[in-house]
Amino acid sequence: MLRGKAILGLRYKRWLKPEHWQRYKLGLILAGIEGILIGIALVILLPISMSLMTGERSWGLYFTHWLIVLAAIAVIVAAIDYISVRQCYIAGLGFMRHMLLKLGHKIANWPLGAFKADTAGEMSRIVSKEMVDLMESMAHFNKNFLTGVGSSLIVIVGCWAWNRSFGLLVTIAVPTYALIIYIASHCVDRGQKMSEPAEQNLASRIVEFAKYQGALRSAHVGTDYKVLNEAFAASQKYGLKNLIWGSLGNILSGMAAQIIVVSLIVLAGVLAVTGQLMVLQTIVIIGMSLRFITMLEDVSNNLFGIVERGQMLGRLDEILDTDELPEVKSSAPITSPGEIVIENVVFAYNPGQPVIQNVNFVVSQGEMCAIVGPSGCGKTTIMKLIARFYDIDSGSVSVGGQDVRDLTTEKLMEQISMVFQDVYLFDDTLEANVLIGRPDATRAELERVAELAGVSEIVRRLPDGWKTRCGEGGRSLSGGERQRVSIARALLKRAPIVLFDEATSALDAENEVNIVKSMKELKQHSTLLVIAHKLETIQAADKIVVLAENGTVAQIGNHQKLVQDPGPYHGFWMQRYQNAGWKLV
Amino acid sequence: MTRDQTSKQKAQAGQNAMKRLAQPIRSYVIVAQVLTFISGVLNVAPYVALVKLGQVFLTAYQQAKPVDAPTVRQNLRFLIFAFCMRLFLYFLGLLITHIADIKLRNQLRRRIVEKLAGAPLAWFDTNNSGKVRKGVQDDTKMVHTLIAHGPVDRLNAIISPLSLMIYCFILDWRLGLLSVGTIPLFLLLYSWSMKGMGEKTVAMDNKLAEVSAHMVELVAGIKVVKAFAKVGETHENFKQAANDYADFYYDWCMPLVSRSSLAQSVVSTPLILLVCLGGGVLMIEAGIVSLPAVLVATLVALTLPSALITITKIVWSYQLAGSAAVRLCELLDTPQMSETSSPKTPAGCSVEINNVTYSYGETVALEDVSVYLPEGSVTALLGPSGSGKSTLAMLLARFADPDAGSIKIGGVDLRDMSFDQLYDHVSFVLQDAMLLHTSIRNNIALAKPTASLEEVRQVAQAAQIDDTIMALPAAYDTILGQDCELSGGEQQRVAIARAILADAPILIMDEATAFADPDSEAEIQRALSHLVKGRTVLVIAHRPGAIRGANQIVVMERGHIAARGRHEDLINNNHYRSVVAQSGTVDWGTEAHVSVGVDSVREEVTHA
Repeated sequence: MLRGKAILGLRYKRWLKPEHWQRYKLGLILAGIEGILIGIALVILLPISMSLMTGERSWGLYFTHWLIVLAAIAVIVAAIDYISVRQCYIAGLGFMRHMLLKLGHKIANWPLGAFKADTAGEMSRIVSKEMVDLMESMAHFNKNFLTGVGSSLIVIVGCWAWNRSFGLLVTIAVPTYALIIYIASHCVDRGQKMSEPAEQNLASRIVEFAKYQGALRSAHVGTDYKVLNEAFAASQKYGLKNLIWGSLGNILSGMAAQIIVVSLIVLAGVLAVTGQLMVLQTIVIIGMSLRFITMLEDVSNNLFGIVERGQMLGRLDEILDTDELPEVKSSAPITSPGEIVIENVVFAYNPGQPVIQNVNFVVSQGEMCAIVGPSGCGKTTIMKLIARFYDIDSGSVSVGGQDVRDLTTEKLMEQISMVFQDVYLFDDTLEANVLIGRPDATRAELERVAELAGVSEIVRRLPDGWKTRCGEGGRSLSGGERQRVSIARALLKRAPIVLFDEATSALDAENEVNIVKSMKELKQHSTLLVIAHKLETIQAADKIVVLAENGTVAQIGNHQKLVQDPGPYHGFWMQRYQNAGWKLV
Repeated sequence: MTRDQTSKQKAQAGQNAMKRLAQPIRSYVIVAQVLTFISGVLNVAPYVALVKLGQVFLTAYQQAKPVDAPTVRQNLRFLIFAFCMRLFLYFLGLLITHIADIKLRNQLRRRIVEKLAGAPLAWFDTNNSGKVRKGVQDDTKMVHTLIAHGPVDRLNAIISPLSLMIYCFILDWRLGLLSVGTIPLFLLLYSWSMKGMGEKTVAMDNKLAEVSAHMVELVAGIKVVKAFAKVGETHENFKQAANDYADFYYDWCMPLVSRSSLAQSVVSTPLILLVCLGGGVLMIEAGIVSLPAVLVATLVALTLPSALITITKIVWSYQLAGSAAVRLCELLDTPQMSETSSPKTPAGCSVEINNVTYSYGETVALEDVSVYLPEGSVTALLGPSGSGKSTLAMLLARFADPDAGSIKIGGVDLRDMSFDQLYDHVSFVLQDAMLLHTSIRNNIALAKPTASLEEVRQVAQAAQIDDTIMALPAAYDTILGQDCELSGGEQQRVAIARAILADAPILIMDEATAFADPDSEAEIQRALSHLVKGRTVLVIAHRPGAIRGANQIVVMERGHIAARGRHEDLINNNHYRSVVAQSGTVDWGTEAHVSVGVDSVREEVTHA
């Protein structure tokens, strides 16, 4: 069904503006007419050859008359092709622009939770290479396909009119050719499906071999690595199977046209010898067979191009059909800035497996609240829900006195700063990356937050200082250094609420003092919600929310109170307390 | 001009790389090409049959006699024979290219693997890992088809139409000219429509790259973009780039489309029929040729234009593979670490680092550093990030060789030891746990594949991970990354178990592994404490408190050693104190120390 639509160009309709769809329709209809005219010109080959040989009329016209008809058709075809090709390309280019903008809009309005690690790569591939391919498929392959189909149909009709036996032969040739091509592509697919997993596996084994050379070498494992060699053997084995199927398929598709042509000629020859075909007609029939089969080849090539790219279109449909985060048109006013209220929140990434269950707590303005609990208890998820990466299943999350669903993204983000684990830096200077926090900050303010967050240390160390470029995504800085930039941004932004994940700062231990200082500063201006790991942080919190493994709240209170209760917090604290005093030697 | 030159050089480099990669299968390709050549020539057979049969039929018609059946049969037999020959040769050619293809692919990967096994460990940074990934996953795929099948396909695409055309010339040179028909005009118009394409294509690529870069920025940076209310701006940037690109494409494409439609119109089917039949009738009337021959010339003229376009497309895809081939060649030229042919056996496990200097390109990471690690002692490297402590540890494991100076184990320079000997002596536990996509048991027993399950479980117990593994459905046979994903802390403990089993006397470790996963710190810490027992240890330290008891603390700063000694010796050393202060780590001796942040740290240092 979808395939059929792709072939007819109908699948593009939903992604075309009406005016472009009109143009496209016109272009395709003209392409069909062009095909019909070309078909007529080819059919003329039959009577014109006859009249050339006999010097008499054939189908009512003399040779010279037929030449005039051909000339007229040539002019009309040229004109129609010009219009058709232009209409198709105008529509195709319109499609490309429209799709690019639509994708951009989609991305800007996706829920943050929808972004995966490979989304960026996929999107950049789609907007560059695949979009051009799709445009080409739409404007070029679809048009040529229709032209080819049009002319082939007319040729078949013409052959029937010319000679019934020949008409029958040509008609039978079409499904025969299609069948051979179908079997051929099936063979090739089969071979590839057999060898593809082994190939993939081998490739990832080699990547693994490279990535973990350290471990392998220290374990005396070299090129004799058993798993790798097994993968090589499997790739050989399935490669051979692929060879057999692939060769079979290739030979079929390579020879399909030849098989048909030879059969047609032999049949025509035999019919002529037995007197069932007139001799002159036979000559023309052989000639027409040779041409007809070339046309079939062209049609099937265009078809392959369309079907192949139809898959890309399928992926595009999928992306553009994903839900956007519903956003209110106008934001509700912030009534109590800096306040977070979590009420009866239930949330599951996968239906039926709630990560957060009936969670209730309030963080008042200016308060510092620590979230603690075992791994996988939903600490990060709560942070993400407050920043509305996802919408909750039931209950409510309020920021600044309003449910986050009643705030525009912009309004919500005015309230919040995030210092999370995966920090993204733009491929710009270090300075620009910090200034994102508040573009109009003064030099003095910039220097002050940099000093506080430990960015100054990086600036002093790197040869280009503030002007050092951070590389794509911040690649030229280490994880700890990126974290410092993200803290500096948050310091500069001074949002009423700061969401802070301490986990990665643990890996930047040389900078720990700066982190503590920064947090103290953030605490002065903002409500601070921290996924806390360090004892100082936990102890300094005004409120500690202790989560249990099943995503419920086990305890709420401050350190003084909780540490005396015989609840889970007591055990947690004692454990961490011992860990912190750990000595390697 | 310069851009044109560099792109030419690039294309040249690509061609050279392709040639180099194709070397091992050259003879296969040549044989396949010869077979393809013959089979391509045989493609003329149906057209020959048309001329011959046509002649027979025409004679029969003109003389009003029955058809000369034996000649017809003879011609048909010739046609079938030629077809079978062609089928056979084509099949043989395909088989040979496919075999060459498999051989090439296999060899390429084998060679890459061998090069990887010999590269300095320092070579394996993220950048180069990406290259390997691209090389074995994408580039090999792209290159192998083009190298093995490309030459044959190209020949096939050229030889068939070419022999058809030559056949026409053989029939009669004027007929040959007729078969070429309007193609010269087409080529003229076509090259006119493609004028200036080179520069435009470059400009176009740049615009496209911009669109893609803005897209990446929008997607990858979406959290930052949203958090700092830059959605509008970034989205606007993308829109701008997309519109720019679409405008540019439109301005480039539409004239091209119009002109190429014009070029196409001179080779349209009706026009070719008109020209060939019109010219043909003159030649028939002049008695030069017969109708079947004219028909053949017409049919050939109809196939030639699309054959030309196919050829240009194939050549284009061949050029695309050039850059992939260049990348693969770079991979095959990976620098190799030399291994001595006459290894010396170290006496003991003390480590001497003598006057070592090492730089990454221009940046000096270590300068004239000397440290001695007595057998069985613990040495901690301390200092701000970028001070050179990781580099020093890396050199001891021979990830790279020092630019100057030497590192010796038991009196023998690392370079005078075989790799087997070296890694019998040295093992490392770094921040990346380096777990392989295989069973947990195989991961732990990597260095000692013969270890019994008992032994494996014993070390896993020591590494505090046995219980976790036993709780998995397939226990020690669990395939990592397939049956289950371990948490960061669990991965670390598997790596520690592996190191315990390997039992090398010298251990290099990163103390950060101890707090890679705050939720299972206690277990990792116990595992590490077990691991370091009785070994000569070099530890990259981050928290001064954790290594306070080390036999030797080396404080590093900008590639130099700023201070060294035991904790007690260093208490009054400024460098040490500043590192301790900056790291903010407190020795939680009594609960009284637990307070908030900086003050306690300062206190700790001043009191000490």
